[in-house]
Amino acid sequence: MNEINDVLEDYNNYLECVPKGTVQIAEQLREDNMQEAFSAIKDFSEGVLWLSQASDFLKCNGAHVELDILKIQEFLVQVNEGLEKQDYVLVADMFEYEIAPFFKEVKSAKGIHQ
Amino acid sequence: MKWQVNCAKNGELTLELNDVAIYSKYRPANDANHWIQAVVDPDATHYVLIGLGLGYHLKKLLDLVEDKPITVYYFEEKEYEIFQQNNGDWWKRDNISLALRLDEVKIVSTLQILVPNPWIKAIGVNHPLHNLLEMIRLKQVSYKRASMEMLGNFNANIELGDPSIVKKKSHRIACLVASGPSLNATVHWLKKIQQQVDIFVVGSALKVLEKYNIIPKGVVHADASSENINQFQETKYNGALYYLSTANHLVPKNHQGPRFILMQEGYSYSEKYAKEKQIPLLQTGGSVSTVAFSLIENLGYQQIVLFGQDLGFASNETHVEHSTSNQKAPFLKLRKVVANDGTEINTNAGLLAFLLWYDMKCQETNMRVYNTAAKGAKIKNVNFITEHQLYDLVNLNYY
Repeated sequence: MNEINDVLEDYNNYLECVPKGTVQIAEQLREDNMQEAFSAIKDFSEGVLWLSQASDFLKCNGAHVELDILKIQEFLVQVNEGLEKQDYVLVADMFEYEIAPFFKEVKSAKGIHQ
Repeated sequence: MKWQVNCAKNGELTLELNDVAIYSKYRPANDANHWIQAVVDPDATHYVLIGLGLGYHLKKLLDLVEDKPITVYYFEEKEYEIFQQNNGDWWKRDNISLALRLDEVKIVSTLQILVPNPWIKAIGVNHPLHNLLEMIRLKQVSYKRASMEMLGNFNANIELGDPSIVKKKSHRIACLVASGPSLNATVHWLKKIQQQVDIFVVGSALKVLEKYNIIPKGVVHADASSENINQFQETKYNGALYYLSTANHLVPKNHQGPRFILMQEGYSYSEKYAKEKQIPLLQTGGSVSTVAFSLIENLGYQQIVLFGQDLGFASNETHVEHSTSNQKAPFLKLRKVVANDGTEINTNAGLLAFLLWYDMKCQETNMRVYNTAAKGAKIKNVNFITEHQLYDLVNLNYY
């Protein structure tokens, strides 16, 4: 039970940080700070992968989790396409105006005992 | 070029060129304003803005610099038509000129060139201006990143009171050793000729030479950051150190041997200092090996042989083994360039900028320049030299 609560807490803390982080990525891209932006995008991809694994784990353990994994995958595909053609304005738009609002709307996960 | 004007989410117009967004599709003017505000240098006396587009960057720049002269470069007539169709007369002012050519712009050190990155990506790598614009942008980004460190280093380095170089003439052959992958093969050649030539090595290849017991005449240090000072730690080298005025100050401070400070063009503090002390100014070219090239030229050598100056990579290794800079080539957009052996090799934006510098430099220098990197990028006006040709050249020169 402790492990579930730990994951639940980490999951909710991380979720809260995502919108601010994605806006920062957009700002880095727009200010031509590419190294910082690419590094933050890599961290973001790893972070959402962890969110998705944590979401599965929490669901399996009876927690109530609202995270549209398919939508996140869709975002990642679009981000990749933008990076591939070096359209950094498009990628910045994605992070600020699509991904940040999406994560702002995601509700915290709730454990079965809450 | 394919121009596409669209309506953004906030109702303003936005623009795509060759399917790459020039402005945001959500808040185009706001984002363009943000960029101009972040990069504009209020101390500049003249501005050149690359890309006219829908005029968002120009409008904000005009707000910020008021009556100072602004030249806006546009890529083709179609772009000018789009701009005119969507803007009134606000831009018709004496201090603004729109230009399809940049030849008449007078280059002064107080000129700021503003290059929004989306234009570089949108015009594509085959556009004749692409590489030049990318080189300008990379230099600006690297300067912005390092400017505080550079000034701190400059002040600390000046305090050391070291002499600079004196221009003279040398009949020996200079070898410039950089740390490109080809050095793996050619370092053995250097070993054989080391007594007959003067070897100048960049910091990242110093330990490679040490491994082969090759003692250089000078080592060159240019990096402002402390990231690469390990290049100089735990070495037995106590020969001459040539360091750029803005290079990390800990390296000259800790060096056990003769030191020479180098003043560079394009950096106002060093230009002023060099003028006062009547010291030669070096073109830096943006990398330590290009600094080393300028140094060798200023030391009066007539012939120079490049080692490990690949400016590209045939495999995915960017540097020679044992180099302190070696890394796997990052999975970013790679470009193809022709190598000295006629094959195609990969390169990236950073190395391409240095190649462009070498292309320009080697066409104007009085030195004869040779390159030993078979799988290195072909530099204009530079002859590829094989192992045996090198020995012949050295023997002919030495005896």
